[in-house]
Amino acid sequence: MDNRSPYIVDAPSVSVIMFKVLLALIPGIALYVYAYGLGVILNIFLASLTVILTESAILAIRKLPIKVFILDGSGLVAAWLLALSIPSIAPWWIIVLGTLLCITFGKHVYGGLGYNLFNPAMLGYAILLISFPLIMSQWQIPNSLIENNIEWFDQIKIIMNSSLLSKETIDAMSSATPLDYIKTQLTLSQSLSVIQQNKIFGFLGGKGLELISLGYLAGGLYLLKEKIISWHLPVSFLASLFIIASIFYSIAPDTYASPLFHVMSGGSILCAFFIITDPVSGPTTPKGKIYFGIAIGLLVFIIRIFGGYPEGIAFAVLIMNIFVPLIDSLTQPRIFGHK
Amino acid sequence: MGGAVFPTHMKLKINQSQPINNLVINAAECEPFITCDDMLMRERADEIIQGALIAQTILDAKECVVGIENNKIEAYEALKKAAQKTTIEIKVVPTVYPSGDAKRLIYLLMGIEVPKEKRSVDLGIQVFNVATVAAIYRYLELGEPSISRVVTITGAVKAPQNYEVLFGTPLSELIAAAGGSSNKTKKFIMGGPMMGFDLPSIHVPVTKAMNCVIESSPELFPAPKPVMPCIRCARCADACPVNLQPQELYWFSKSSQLEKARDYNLFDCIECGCCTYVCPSNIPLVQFYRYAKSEIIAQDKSKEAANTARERNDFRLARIEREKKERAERNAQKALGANEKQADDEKKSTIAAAMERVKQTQQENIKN
Repeated sequence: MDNRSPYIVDAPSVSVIMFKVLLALIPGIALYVYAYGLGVILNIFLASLTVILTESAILAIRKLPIKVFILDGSGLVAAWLLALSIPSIAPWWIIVLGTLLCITFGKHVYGGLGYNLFNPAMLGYAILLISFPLIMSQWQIPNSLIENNIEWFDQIKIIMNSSLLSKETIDAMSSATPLDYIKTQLTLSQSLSVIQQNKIFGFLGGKGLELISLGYLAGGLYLLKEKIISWHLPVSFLASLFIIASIFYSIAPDTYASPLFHVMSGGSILCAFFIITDPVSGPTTPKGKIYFGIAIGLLVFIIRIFGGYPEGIAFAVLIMNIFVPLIDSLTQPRIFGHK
Repeated sequence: MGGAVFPTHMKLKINQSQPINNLVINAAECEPFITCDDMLMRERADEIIQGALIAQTILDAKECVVGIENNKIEAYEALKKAAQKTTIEIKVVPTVYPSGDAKRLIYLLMGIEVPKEKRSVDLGIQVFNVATVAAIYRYLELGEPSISRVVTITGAVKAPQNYEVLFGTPLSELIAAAGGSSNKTKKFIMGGPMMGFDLPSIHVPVTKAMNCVIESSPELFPAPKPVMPCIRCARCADACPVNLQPQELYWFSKSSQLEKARDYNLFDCIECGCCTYVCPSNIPLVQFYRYAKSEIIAQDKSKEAANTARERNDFRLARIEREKKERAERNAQKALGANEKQADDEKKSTIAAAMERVKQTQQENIKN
């Protein structure tokens, strides 16, 4: 007897889920363009192109249906997240190389969709950060802070051929991120209140960056509403980052930035709603998600304050990815009727 | 006449060690498409309530509660009216599949979780389907044995309807009554779309378990979409009424790590199909669990058979050994016996010879 029930299904396909994630990134991207110009769009375009070409080639080699696995959209999500994580004026080959490595070594080496141990975007980011530390720390100054706005065309020129521009021009339009700036200035024994008077700081985090974070927050809330992600991860991660930052801030407010600053700067919000919520490399049990979020929040803070890098999200996520199978096996929910 | 078709007379037997305190009448009928119980409640609410009272009396149960889903308003009104002058309580449960599962219904109505590997009767709770209590009434009050049931025939047939059908009626007759088949696939499903199965032919009889027959069609039940890899989104885990982790069970079942699947409580799966229903990757999860369960059961059986065979062989070897020993002992005893006899003879002959000698000397002495 053929028993193939249930005969009915009602689920959004993997593609629909992934494209909704891309859609949720749009507000953040729009604000990014508003604050910094079109550079990020070029990066996203290059990342998308690279991921489609690379995945097609790999899928062809692996003899898998190309159309199905390109249209599942998971490669594009990883590529966009990577493009949003790197400096928007990095030379073109940074994003191309990063995406190539991210999709090859972050995803297909493990068996493609559904099999990767690590978050592909964060793996790509970590490789880029370790390999090209200088480029990866030169962030663009928000348009509002430059007297002569960089023309959109200039930005594209920088990305496509940075050697054409003098070092002075690049220096004039780039700087360290607020997190980076605090870190270096603190080592020069500056007090935080003095440091934060620098023009790159805004009302919540870094100027411009905080605006983008609000855009990501809006997208994240959309994903929650659409039930693409559950509340466990963003809430536990942001709460743990906020609480540990509050503890340090309350002890020495002149050495440690405020909890709100930690939550609103760097990639905290992007991480909370888009990066740690990657289902494949994250835990699946509700309790496990909470532990995972808390651990990443703590690690991000520790790396930001005590580590060698100004931002610790990529490393924190990659470290915790290793523990996912363990977390899952230790947090099995109680089965109906079991004690 | 519920899903599992457990014999009613067994369920009505009173067990001295565990008296029944609560009687639950299952009126949830949670699968889509099926409406036979709904119609029965609307039209014969009195029979159901009377049957429930009879069952309550037989079981000596203190309380009787009817659980009905909140989408069956007419049926609820009818039952409410019929139960007006009785102590039977009609409780509404939310229309969430699979609330018609007995253990789920008990939890919804009474807040009690039936523990693992136990049945509700162990807790003093007995569950009957509405159709069953109606049949009890008809048997005990009208003397009519259980010879028919209400069957929903729906799907692609021309006139979907509920019919009261005699057991043993060929399904083809029922299909003809419902206006006949309207498409070329001629595939029929017994049960609901969540847990039912394809019937091998329309030349089968209507049975007590046949609450619903659905004519399948590509529009109603499209062919399953191509399966994608699992992305661990855990929608299945959210949907699982038993709180299992279907994504892990899928992984273990697929890779034939059957012991792991068992450790992750595969056997608590009630095969309701919710996980498959919500899977974005179109993975037929339940089929994997059915496969894993049957594999484990087969393995256990063959293990048991092997164990029995080994035990038997051990016993046989032990027996052979024992017999050998016994034989050896017997032989040894025999040999010992023979030796003793010989020794005896020698003794006797010596004594005889000595006596002879004594006699001779005595005689010689007399002669002298």
